[in-house]
Amino acid sequence: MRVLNSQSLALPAFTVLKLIAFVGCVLFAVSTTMVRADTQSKKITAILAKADSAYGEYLSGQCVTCHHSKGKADGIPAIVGLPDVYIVQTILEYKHAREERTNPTMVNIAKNLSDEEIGSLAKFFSAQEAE
Amino acid sequence: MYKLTRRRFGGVLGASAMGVAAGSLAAPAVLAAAKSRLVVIGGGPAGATTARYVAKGSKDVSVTLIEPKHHFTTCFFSNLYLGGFRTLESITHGYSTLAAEYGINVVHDVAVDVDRAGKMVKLARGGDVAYDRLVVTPGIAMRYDSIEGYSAEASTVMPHAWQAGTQTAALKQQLEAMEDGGTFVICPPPNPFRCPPGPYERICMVAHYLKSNKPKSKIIVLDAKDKFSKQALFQEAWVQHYEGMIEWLPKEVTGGVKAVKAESMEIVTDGETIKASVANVIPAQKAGVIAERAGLTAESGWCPIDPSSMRSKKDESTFVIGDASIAAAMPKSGFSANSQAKVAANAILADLTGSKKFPAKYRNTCWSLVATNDGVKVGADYTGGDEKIDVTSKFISKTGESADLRAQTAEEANGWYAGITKDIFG
Repeated sequence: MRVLNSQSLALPAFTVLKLIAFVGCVLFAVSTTMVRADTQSKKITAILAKADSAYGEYLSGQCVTCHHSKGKADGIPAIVGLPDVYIVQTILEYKHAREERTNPTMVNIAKNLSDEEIGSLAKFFSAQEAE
Repeated sequence: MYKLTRRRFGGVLGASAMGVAAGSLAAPAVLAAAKSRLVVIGGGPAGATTARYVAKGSKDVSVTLIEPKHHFTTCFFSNLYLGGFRTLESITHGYSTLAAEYGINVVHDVAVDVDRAGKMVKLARGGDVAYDRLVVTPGIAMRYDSIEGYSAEASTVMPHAWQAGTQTAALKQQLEAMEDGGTFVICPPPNPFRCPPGPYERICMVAHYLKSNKPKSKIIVLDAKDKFSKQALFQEAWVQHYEGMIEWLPKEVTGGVKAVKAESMEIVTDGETIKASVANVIPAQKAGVIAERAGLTAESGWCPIDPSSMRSKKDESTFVIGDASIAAAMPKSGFSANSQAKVAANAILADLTGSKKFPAKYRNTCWSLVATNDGVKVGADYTGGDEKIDVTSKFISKTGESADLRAQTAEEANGWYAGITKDIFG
């Protein structure tokens, strides 16, 4: 009975340790993700702060050759009227060819854009309206 | 001097009233004299885009666009018409939006000469148009004399179909009239020429039509070159979709096309004479005629430009944009022309209104349809360097891509067509 007891005690103690370790890991992961998300959002804010509206309008000319200027999406996604934060985030994803953002045309374009250019384009297109 | 210019400009207003879109100009004649004047020769992707962006950018510039045609059929996507994927109507555009929504004075006439010292463009129907800045976008002219026996007249029998419209329709009619088992001969031109992947996309589109309608027919390619744009991708498609139908003969094999005989439908190379059922003869090219008349061309027949603005190296009041220009690494394409137009429009507005001139950034992408739902592409970003337009970075489709990716690329091309034509014609 006693032997049995000590055995039954020893096992849960090990399980508790594992649980603590697991929770610790999860917390660490969550906090790291939060820090990363926070860093990312600070980066996006910084990029948008660099926006120059006249430069954005000029640069947008090179986008509307393909992305319809009034938001028609006929095989190429519409970009007018999207939130500026989303546009910055998407261009950054193309710049680093992350996840699904592998279209070679956009990867090639994004890698040549500076932060000021990305911010300027995002501000410009977010202010446009679809027809 | 100013009075003279104003009076002469008034004269042109009268002349253009006989043309087409008179309403927009006749009334504000006095106002127009106070504004600075941009005159654009040519209403293709380069000219119409520049006119639209300058008109959009400032109310203080009067914009006149001189283009003989009332409707413009785009060269890009005209191969898709040959393949049966597009109608001619769906790739034909008018100028009414540019006139009505952007206040551009569209004059349907031919610019026959430019007096650069007096800053006047002479029109075929009479009258001069005065300018402060001139944009020359005449596209290409054919060097008929580059092939013995070829001429404007011969091109009605052996169409080049390298300027879209009646030539393209003529080639399509000939293909439709051809017997099953006939020989389609295409002669791609030497470099540099409009739309480097164009002849090879055309081969795909003609093969697509023949495979569906006249499967015993053959295609012979008598190339003036030994290699070509997107070669691996096109050759992959020729084997994959049209096996046994296409024979590509580079210059090193045939010595190139020496002569054509339109009356007997024969094409002569170094060692052989080939009889064609349908002959698509695309000669060497040069800048459109008015560029040469205006003294804007170099010995090569093309126009040197400042890479930071597309300003002519021969005249600081003049810009040459699109196929007629020497844009170094940029191919002669509708996309390039449209891209260059926006750099030039920014520079023109800076000249005329004192607005900010931004750094020259250019782009090109060429999609080619090689079969149903099978598209490939090539593209690059460019900057205006000190000496020439330089490539910043580039990309190209790969051989062996999945059918899904190819279908997506083909779909993208449709989206691009909708986008660019909106950007050109409003």
